[in-house]
Amino acid sequence: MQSCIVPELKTLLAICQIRIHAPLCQFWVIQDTACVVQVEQSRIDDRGNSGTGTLVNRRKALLGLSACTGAIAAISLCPVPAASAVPELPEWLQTLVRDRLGRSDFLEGRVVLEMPNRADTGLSVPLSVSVPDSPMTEADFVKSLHVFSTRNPQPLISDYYFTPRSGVAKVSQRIRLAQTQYIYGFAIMSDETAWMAAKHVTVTLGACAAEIFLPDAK
Amino acid sequence: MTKVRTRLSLPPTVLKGEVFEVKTLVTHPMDNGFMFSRDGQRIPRHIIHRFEASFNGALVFRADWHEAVSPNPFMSFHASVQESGKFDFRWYDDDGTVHTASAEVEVV
Repeated sequence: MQSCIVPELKTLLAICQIRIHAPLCQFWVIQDTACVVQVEQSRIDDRGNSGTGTLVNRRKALLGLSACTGAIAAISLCPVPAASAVPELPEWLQTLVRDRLGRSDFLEGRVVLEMPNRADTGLSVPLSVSVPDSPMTEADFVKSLHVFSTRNPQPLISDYYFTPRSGVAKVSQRIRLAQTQYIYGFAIMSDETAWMAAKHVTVTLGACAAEIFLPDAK
Repeated sequence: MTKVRTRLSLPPTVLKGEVFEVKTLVTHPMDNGFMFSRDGQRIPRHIIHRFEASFNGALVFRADWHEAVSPNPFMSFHASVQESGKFDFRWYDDDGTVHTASAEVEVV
């Protein structure tokens, strides 16, 4: 949990905690991306006495609050990937996708990749891919969905081919992941538009014992 | 080779045009070719590389699986049918065998 916080930020948080007397301010890091700061204002009574008996005057409390705001601003400036943005494809994956799917003009969106943020074991990670807004009629349906891995020894995961009889373009499967990585999902529609999405999955323990599954630097 | 068993889960009766989920599972080691046995020998690749589902002879869904698919592969997809009939499922093994299973669906 701590690993995501950069050292400077840690110092900032420490300063912040000292200033406003630790019990007044509690920090939770939620899903690596956001930090929620909660100040228990109810514990400061009208005379500025906190619940623990420590004298906290208005100025101190305000200082603490401003420090908290600073911390939040610092966190938001951290280079943490946003959940929705699709990160740049590695060059080798671009080549692979172009060779296998015959195109490289993928737009972001429409594809929904559902995977856990964290997987305790990479042996069996639930994967669900869908294009929920496709009507799946003869005129407009999802032709295929393709899932690629960035850090597995074999980057191909699965290809799914649909027909209008599929009703809805949604599949679920269990897959193996060698290590923490981005999973990319690509969709090709019957009207020849192409869409993509990405999902970051943290894998605690890779799919196989360490030395066999450690992939080459890719 | 150990006997491959299949398990299916789909509603026996559906409404006409209703979208329903079909869940399939097949017992298979899915050796991906990256693993070593206890005596240091590389276990050769042996996976199911293709899955097909057809309804009354018409293909409904097809999937190409690669090495990343977990052992005892589970596959869930959706379908909608206009008339009663039979689902046929086919799993294509690397060793050339085709595992099959089928299920009846009645439109009410």
